[in-house]
Amino acid sequence: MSKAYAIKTQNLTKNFGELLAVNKIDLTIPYGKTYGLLGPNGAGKTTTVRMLNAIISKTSGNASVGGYDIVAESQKVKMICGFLPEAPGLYSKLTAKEFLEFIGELYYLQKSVISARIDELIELFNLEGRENDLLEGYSRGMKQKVCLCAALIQDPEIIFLDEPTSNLDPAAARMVKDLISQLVKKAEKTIFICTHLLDTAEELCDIIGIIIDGEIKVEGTPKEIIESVGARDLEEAYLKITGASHIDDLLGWREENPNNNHNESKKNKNKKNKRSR
Amino acid sequence: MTVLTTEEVMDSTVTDIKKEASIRLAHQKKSLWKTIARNEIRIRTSSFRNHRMLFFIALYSLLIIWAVVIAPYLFDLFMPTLAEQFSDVFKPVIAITIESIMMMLFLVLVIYPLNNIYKEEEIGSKEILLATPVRANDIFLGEFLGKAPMYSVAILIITPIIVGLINPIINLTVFQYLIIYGIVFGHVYFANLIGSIVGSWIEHKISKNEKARDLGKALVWVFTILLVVIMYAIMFFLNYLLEHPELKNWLAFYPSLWFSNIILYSIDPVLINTFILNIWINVLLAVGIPIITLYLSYRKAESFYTLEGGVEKSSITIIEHENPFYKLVRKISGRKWGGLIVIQLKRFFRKKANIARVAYVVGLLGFMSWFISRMVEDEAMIVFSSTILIAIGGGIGSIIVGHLAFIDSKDLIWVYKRSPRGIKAIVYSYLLMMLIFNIFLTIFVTTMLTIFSDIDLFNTVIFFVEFLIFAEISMCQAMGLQCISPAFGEKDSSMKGNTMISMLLLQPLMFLPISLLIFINPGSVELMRVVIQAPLFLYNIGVSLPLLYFGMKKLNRLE
Ligand SMILES: Nc1ncnc2c1ncn2[C@@H]1O[C@H](COP(=O)(O)OP(=O)(O)O)[C@@H](O)[C@H]1O
Ligand SMILES: [Mg+2]
Repeated sequence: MSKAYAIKTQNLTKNFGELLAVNKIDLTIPYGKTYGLLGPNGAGKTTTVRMLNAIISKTSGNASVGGYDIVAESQKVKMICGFLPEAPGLYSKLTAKEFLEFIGELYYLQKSVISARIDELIELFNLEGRENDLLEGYSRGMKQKVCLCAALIQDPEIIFLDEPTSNLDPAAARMVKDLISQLVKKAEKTIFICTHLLDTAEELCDIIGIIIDGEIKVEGTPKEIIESVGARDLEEAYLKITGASHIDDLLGWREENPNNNHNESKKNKNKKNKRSR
Repeated sequence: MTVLTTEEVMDSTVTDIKKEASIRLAHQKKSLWKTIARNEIRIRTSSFRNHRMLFFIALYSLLIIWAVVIAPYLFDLFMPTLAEQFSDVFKPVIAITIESIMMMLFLVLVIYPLNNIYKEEEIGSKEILLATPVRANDIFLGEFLGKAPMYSVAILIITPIIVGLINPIINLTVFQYLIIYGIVFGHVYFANLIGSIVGSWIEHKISKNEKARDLGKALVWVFTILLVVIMYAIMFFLNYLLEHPELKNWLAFYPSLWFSNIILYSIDPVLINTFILNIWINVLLAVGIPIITLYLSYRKAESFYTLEGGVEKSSITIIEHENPFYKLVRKISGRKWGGLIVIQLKRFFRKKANIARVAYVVGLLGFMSWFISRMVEDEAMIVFSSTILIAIGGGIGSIIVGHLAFIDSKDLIWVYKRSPRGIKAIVYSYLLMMLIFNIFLTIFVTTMLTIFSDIDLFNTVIFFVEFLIFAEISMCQAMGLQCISPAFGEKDSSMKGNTMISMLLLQPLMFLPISLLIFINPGSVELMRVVIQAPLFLYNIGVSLPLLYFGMKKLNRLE
């Protein structure tokens, strides 16, 4: 498979028994880009990143990450990827430092390299002074920071982030987004973000793929996606694409009847509310 | 935020990283199971994280002092006298004691790892682990061996006791010491291995959906209770087992027996004569099975260290015409309570975990009635054994299913509190629902008793009434306890706590009949019934009703 792309998949498919979780996904993501996999809950995002990180097996299709095949060279894939799980479970009875040391050792890093790395990351993520506290006492946002540190400990080439901001309060989400955009600034890192949050995707990603029921429906830059469905913003585009069957009708009906102000204003009000939140 | 360091931290180009990663991967000599094992130890000793070395040195010094100095001294104080006094039954009693200790140890060690399954945290950390290059079999081996220091503690505590029991019979040679320590060691590690495998297996194969998780939780919990019950059973039937050692053969494939048989053989080969497996088969099983199990589980670790069988929610829609049983319940219990009881019944039996619990109670009581029926020989024995069946059996139901009234959520309490009937409505309707349950249970136990023993009609009726009343009083006790400390949302700590307290409160009941018979020698069978049953009922009522009263008061004040 091609080495020119950071992530490349062909017809990647995953079945859980009868359930088709991911259906023939084709991705081609160049190095240095930030890719956002956007979709509602249960669309198959987590399943996709788990497959790409060789955590679960694929049912059919092909995929390579960093030029390595996810099945035949799964060890190598894991070596060059960092992964932030959706609901990471930290060992609450470890300190942040112990936890990061542990993860570092699992990547075959040398002791000296690990401790240097930990010092850097702890400083970068503003965790100084807390690194020797047990993780059970950490807040959600701080735990997420520690998990991000763990995902970065071996200085990965490709970073997968599964719902990095979904379970956080707005302030912590802001902070995590800032951290991610810092990572993005360094052009060599390829970042793959799964999210169901539009703002996260719009803010951080170069390319967005919208996934519904295990299939990628649209792919492109945010601007391209908005234009392709003739929407005004990403939110409208997303609603159009995800709810294609009924919301399409709804929106279509609205456009055809511009006189019906009652509904129009209601819709806009909803939107405004959403944004101001 | 320190933006400055970003550049430094991220300062490496693609090719560099790749080359470096490949080199690391190629040069990996270190087995990662060591890392996993060390991490496991760190987690378990986190309270001493600043002085881990010191902690281990202190702990093991203490244990060695116990093994070498304290335990032998303690046992020397009384064992020789006992051995002399009961010289004719001494060996078999010691044998059975060792067997039961090891049986219990095995169960505890198998169940212990099960307590950790279904913790979200563990599932989440598994995902982090699986994303790193570590292989599943290294995780498995590491987690297994990482528990070694903890299990060594068990070995060092238990083995001196076993040695102390044996010493008055034969003077152990160094070789025999080694064998005994080795056997306990193998036994403990094998139990640990089984526990780890079963735990991982349940977690990854059975946990496909919520219903199964529910069931899994109940299973773990049921095991724990089984443990206590077996303990009581053995205590009660020690004598019986002494006279009928062949009953042990029913358990020939309970692994702890293979191990304990080797120890017994080293005391006196006669002790395992009645056992269907001879010493060589025992040794073969005790050595071979653990090794094969370890090897297979190491090779197959991939299949149970996965996220493939993760958590999946399922929904069930129940469209039913109310079945005749519910209709009957409504009719019988009248307008005031009928509806509430039917709601409680539906709520209770739609939960798969509860059905498992009920099945368990029924199975256990069936076994107990069969076992106790076998002891019935004359009138006096009928009274005595049915009293024991009432005391244990009547209590068990309440321990296992009595503590489930409030597990749905705290909101339930508010719903009832707001209603004009108040908190009483939920408490009484649960008790009434349990009364229906108890009626069926009592019918079952009584039937078992009549089938397996030739108890007459008079005694049958008396037994039925007494069992039912006793079971319902015990239910009040369980209800009272959970009113005091409700286990909303199946809160682990308060559910376990309540069960423990329940068992403690029922404990005297198990000994009352026996101890009373030691002190009082009633002339007639009828007098005997009064003597051993009156205190039993009085005690249970005296504990349960006040508990229920205060519990309801407390629940009323809940905020
Ligand atoms: N381990 C599993 N076993 C069975 N079904 C699963 C499993 N994991 C996910 N699924 C199912 O696959 C579908 C996609 O899930 P997921 O990838 O978690 O979605 P997302 O991350 O986009 O919310 C869902 O319908 C989910 O129920
Ligand atoms: Mg997801």
